[in-house]
Order: sequence, then C-alpha cells, then structure tokens
Amino acid sequence: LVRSELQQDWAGKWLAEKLSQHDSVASATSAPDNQEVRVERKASSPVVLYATSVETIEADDVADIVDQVLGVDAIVNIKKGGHVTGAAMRAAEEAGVGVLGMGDAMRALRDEDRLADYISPEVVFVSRGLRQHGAVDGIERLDESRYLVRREDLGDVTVLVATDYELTASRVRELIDAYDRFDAIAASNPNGTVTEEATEVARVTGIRILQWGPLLGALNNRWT
Amino acid sequence: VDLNGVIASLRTVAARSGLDRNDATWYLFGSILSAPRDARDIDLLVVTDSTDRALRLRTWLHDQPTPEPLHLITMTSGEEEQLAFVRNEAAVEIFPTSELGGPAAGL
Repeated sequence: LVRSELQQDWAGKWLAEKLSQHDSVASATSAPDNQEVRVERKASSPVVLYATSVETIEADDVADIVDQVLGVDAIVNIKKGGHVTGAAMRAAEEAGVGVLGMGDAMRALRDEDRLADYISPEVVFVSRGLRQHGAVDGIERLDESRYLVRREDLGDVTVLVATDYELTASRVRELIDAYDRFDAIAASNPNGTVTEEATEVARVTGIRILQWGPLLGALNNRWT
Repeated sequence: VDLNGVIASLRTVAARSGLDRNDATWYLFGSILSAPRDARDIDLLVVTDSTDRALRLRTWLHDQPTPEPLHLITMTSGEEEQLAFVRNEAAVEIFPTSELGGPAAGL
C-alpha cells in the first residue's frame, strides 16, 4: 500500500464520477475503496490514474505510487491549492507520469495521448513571459510554483506564482511556510485581489507581491 | 454532494473547534450551494479575528473528519470587509448558527 497520507478511499470513486461527465471520456471506473481510476477515452488511448487529495505531493509519494500502481499514467491531486515539490516533479518526469490537478486532468485527458506530456496553460504563459523578458538570461522551474529567474547583470530573483483569486494574509503565510525561499509573489490571476493585510505580511518578511505586469517591469531593475 | 450532510458535518467540526462568533464565522459558497450534484469541491470560507487563529484552525482541520473534497479559504474580518467576499459570493453562514457540538479544541 502507498503511504497513509495519500490514502483517501473516497478519492477514486469521486474522481471516476467527475470524469464520467467529461466530454472526452467514454467511461471512468474505480473499484470500491480503490484510488486507481481506469479511463477509456473517446479519441485516445485508455489511461490509469491515481486519485488523491493532499496538501503536498513529494518525491517519495510519486515513487510509492509508481511502484504500487501498475501502468499508472498520472497522479491526480483533487485538493485545490495543493502543491508538488521540485523533487516530486523530477521523479514524475523520470517515471513518465503526470502530476495533475483536477482542471489540468480534464484538459490532459482531452488533449494529450501521453498524460506526462501535458503542460498547463499557466506554466506556458509564465515560462514564455519570463523567457522573453529582455533582462532575463534564463529561467529554472524549481517546483510547481517557483521559478528561478537568472539575470547576469541585475542578480537572480526567485518568483513564486500564485493563482489564487483572493490572496489573503493567511495564504501568504502558508506560502512562506511551505516554500524554502522566494523574493516575490506574482499574483497571476488577472481577476484576483491581494488584501492589504497580505501585502503587509509579505512586506515584513522582505517579499514583494506584484501583479504579473508590474512584476515584469520590476525585473528590469536590481531587486531591492 | 449531499448539501445537508455537508452542512451537518461541517457544523459538527466547527462546534468542536471551540471557537465562537467573535473568533470565527463559517460560510459555504460556490457551486456546492447552486449545483451540489455537479460541484467539484466544497468551498468553505472561515472568517477569523486574526491571521494567527486562521493558521491554527487550518492546521487543526487537517486532522478532522471533514467532508471531501474540501477547499478552505481563510481571511480576517478586515480582509472580508475589504473584499466584500460574503456579499459578492453570496456565501451562506453555517456556523455558529448550529447548536451541534462536541468537546472544544480550544484553538
């Protein structure tokens, strides 16, 4: 059995029910008390998913699932706002397994024959915006949310991309606790709001919260 | 999703937290209210008197038997006032309107 933190007996049944309603899915089934979901797709090959709902997916979790779930194509984390560590991302990549949230799982099932090839529109948007920036010499994706932005002349900056609609003080403190180090939070949701308390919490810890456009502008200058 | 079951379950957990209206107010919002059968998750907002209390509550909730999949947002009453979240999202208060309860956690 996989690690107990990953075990939610309801998750497979719940995911199968939701996927069954999706246009690209012919059928989605899970055995009782089983987190494996077998998905027959209308226009692509069948896939095996592992459903869980956790705050964090780590490398050991990926290794356990790959070992125990024969032919698994992707791990689906139902938990909204859950995150994937950099080591887990690399372990999944090496194993050829996707690690997806619910929305991404729906898109990947529709668009990708091999689920591990899926890249979310948000990652494409952020990566392209940073790579095309005139002051940026390169980027490295550290984990699901953080990007190391290399600038030879101005110094490196670590940016955490937050997609929350409401970026509150407690959310900022959670992000600070969950991630090792970062210099800025990019509030990337164009319809999102950052509360005044969130801005203050970040400020006292030396972190700047910026909307996407202002972040790109700030990257033209030395980080202070 | 069984909306009445979700509300009863969350009210029980909220009562067990030992928090009263001055500490925290619990709301449901989103598709769980408008279309519970199709809801992808259970959107729960807890408005607290401080960020510290919100973080303690989040940690405590990890070990509670909450209905799943739960999506929790926490904010202080000042942040709620700034965002007008309850009004804009048509959130519905579910606690402390209940008298269900159990041993208090003393958060």
